[in-house]
Amino acid sequence: MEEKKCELLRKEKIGHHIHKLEVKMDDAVLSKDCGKIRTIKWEGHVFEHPILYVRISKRRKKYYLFLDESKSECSLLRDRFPCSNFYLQEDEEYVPAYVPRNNDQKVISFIDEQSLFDTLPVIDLLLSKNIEQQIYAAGSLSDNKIKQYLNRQLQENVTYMTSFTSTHISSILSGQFIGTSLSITGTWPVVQELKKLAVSQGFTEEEIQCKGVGPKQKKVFCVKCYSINELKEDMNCPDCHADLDVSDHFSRRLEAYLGYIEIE
Amino acid sequence: MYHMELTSASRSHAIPSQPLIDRFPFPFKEDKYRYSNNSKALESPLVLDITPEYFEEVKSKRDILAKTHNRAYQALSHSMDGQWEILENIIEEMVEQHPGYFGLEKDGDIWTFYNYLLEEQQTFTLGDPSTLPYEPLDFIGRHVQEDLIYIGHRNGDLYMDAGQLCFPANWSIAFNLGMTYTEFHSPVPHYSDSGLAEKVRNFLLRMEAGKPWTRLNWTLTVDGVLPTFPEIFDEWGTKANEVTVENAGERVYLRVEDQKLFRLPRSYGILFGIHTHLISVEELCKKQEWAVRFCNVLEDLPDYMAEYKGFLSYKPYLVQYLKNSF
Repeated sequence: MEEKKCELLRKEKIGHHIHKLEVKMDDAVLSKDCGKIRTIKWEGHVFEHPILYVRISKRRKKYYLFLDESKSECSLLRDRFPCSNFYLQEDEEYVPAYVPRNNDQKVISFIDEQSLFDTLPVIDLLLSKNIEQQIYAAGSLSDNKIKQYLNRQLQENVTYMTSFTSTHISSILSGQFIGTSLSITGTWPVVQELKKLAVSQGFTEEEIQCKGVGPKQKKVFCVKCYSINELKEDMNCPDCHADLDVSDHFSRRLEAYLGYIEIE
Repeated sequence: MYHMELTSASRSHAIPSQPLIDRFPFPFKEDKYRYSNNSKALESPLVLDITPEYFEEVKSKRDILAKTHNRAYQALSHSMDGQWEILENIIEEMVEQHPGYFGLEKDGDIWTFYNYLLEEQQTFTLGDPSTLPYEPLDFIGRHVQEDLIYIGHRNGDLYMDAGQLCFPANWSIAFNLGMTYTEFHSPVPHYSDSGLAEKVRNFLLRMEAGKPWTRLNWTLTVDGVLPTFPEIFDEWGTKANEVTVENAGERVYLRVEDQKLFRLPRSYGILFGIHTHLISVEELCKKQEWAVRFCNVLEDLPDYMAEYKGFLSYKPYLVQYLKNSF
């Protein structure tokens, strides 16, 4: 993947560890509406660092970059970046938290502290496309600065909850009009649970986009045969073929979530 | 040396038979039930309760252990000292409290243990696991009706370090092994959220030797199945769909766990003994005050608790059955 040169226009610290940069691409543009940068190069240094981007103007080649400095071990990058000109190399593998569809009127997003970072570019993307959005954030977002940022971006359209309870989520989902899509992010068991609820409220597969986050794919312990496999949707044990109802009961010893036998 | 020999004729009469209704540990002290730290000081500090179901239940435990050992027995290697301490305590209690059922000969560290009820004996050297056919906890658990869990006390926390568990109320020791107290209780609704789990954990951390605690826990089980392992939920879980108003009395059982907690002074762990009792609702209704109270508890019980205990779907039928009975 080629290196693309860009120029820094503006920067803002929007969270305790999160910077938002406005950049203009020099020549070549970034390939997607919303994506990820794999490496940055400036003044001869090359850094691997997670940076998410969102396009804000195609014509003027402008993008916002989101950089989480807590994920950087390099103090040079933390202390001196960004400077006026640098080069970006894209990560083609990245799948955004949400990809807008042509007929989207409104997007409801369920996020938690871990998936918050992936949600940031999507918020700007939906704003730029004039798609109405409503965000429900679970867990204690400990970073007040980022809360202020979200409130500023979304006004009253962001709601903080201690956790997602099925009754509350069902009442949120039941009153929605056609043309409303769902973006569900967070840890896999929560994502699965919310998706199940959404389907039971009449949302179709096309209307729901899920993204589980975390350092690695979640594993499930099959209580029937004790095998441990990667979590997938509609979990069926690859070894004993039992349908599994994946709980959020987690074993640190097995590094897996408990999958109960599901019966009709 | 002399030890008692029981003939098979005397064996069946060995354990005095008292009607279940007269000895069942009915758990409800008032017309409602919520989670609380309902532990009480245990009056007589004994682990064991030997009931007429002894032969049947010990046989069932041994069958389960023979067929699916890792489902019913799990232990981390550092639990061995605690296991020996449990074996010693239980054998001492057996011979002191039930000299007609059990015997012991000591020759220094070489012990010979007699189970007169089952006509078995085992000689072993204390502290040497190779002289027993199973690990100490797994061995002694095969002579008692209780499920035995060893909770280790390390780094200021409590860990599920070993356990022989043949009659679980839908939990898996293969999964829970090694978890902290708070971790293995995390599926219990509102118990962890409310801070109660942490409170009880702190209470247990301060538990002293010689001052054991007891509490009764309860759920319902269809057809009186004792081994309600989550591992075989497809075998017993579907029975809930078969309960009707007409058959509820016969098929639904109140399942009460008499749980006892003992601080082990040597290993500084905790022995958690669970004796599970079952009584059919039909039988329970022979005491009308129990039927009325049980009915009031069920009607007051929040759905999330009935759901967690697995009887939300047939609760209305059971309540109707109870109302018809008085």
